[in-house]
Amino acid sequence: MREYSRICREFVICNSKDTPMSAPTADHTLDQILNLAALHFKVPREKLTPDDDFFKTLGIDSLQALDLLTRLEDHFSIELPDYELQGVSDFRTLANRIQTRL
Amino acid sequence: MSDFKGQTLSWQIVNGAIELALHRDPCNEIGSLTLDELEKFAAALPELANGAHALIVHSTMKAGFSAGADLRELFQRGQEMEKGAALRGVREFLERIHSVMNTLDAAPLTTIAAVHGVTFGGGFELALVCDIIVADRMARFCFPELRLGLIPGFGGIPRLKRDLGNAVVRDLLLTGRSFNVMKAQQIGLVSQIAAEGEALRVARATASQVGKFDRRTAAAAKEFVKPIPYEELKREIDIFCDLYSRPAVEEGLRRFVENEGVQPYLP
Repeated sequence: MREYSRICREFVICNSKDTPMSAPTADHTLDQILNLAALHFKVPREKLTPDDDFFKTLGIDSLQALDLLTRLEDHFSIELPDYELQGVSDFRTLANRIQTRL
Repeated sequence: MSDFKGQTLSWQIVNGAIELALHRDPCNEIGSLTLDELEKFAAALPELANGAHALIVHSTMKAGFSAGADLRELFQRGQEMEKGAALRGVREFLERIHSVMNTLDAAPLTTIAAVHGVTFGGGFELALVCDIIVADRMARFCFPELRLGLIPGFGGIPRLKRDLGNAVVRDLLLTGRSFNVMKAQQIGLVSQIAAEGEALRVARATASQVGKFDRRTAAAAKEFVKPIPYEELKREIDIFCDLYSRPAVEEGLRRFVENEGVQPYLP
């Protein structure tokens, strides 16, 4: 729970109106994705790396991947059509796709 | 029959609301067994409605409300029969499920779909017959039929057209993309969003509220604002059956059924 609060706080700070309005960097987006995936699928964060196949590393199937997509859309307040993720299975490419919607 | 426990669904009356729970593993795929039990429910509904003011449809399966039609059964039946018999079987299935959907659509009480997780295809169509959709924050909606060479067959297009602008309907239908609750609320499909795991509780609170009003007034209001597009529903069955006869559909179903990859739900 404490970890989740930290991630939420970071996200709020990143999107705060008190700071200049700029899109988060790709690295920051990637970091948030890895944090969220680790937290939700209960995998140690240090075991996740950007080029991992998230189906394998997280041990998830297609329905759980849709669940991850929904959580990422919710977290980043974006809409990411699932056809844009066709063939995407690593965190780095996923982050790049999300980055184009921020 | 005030309560029933079947293999795919169950119902009971709780605080004046009928609660219809879907519980077929893995995600309430709608095949012939589910249809049999839905028909039982539709037949029991007039009597149940005498002792209730609302109907809540929900799922007890973790994966979601419903992944839609049982495509494995559809494919298997197509393989076991000669083409003419398979097509007649499909038409009969569609006519039966349309009859159930129309009964639910016109039910003389307020109907609420409490959805979570996967709400795809036929499952989405089941939610669309309800007067109010309450959605879990993590629910996801999709009409994936075009990737199989088909259109939605349980009344989805006419009912989407009833509720949404045609431009949105075209986007959802022609891209076959899935979308989240925020989008669903933005386009006017979902009226209430619940926190994760709370859709049934919110639906119960809503049912309790609608129970405060005069039933005949509520039924008259519903009939006025929610006409059933019978002609378009019949046309949908015809179009579906025309498309089903094509080889592309068999291939689409085969790809889906035989796909052992991790992304079969993604277009």
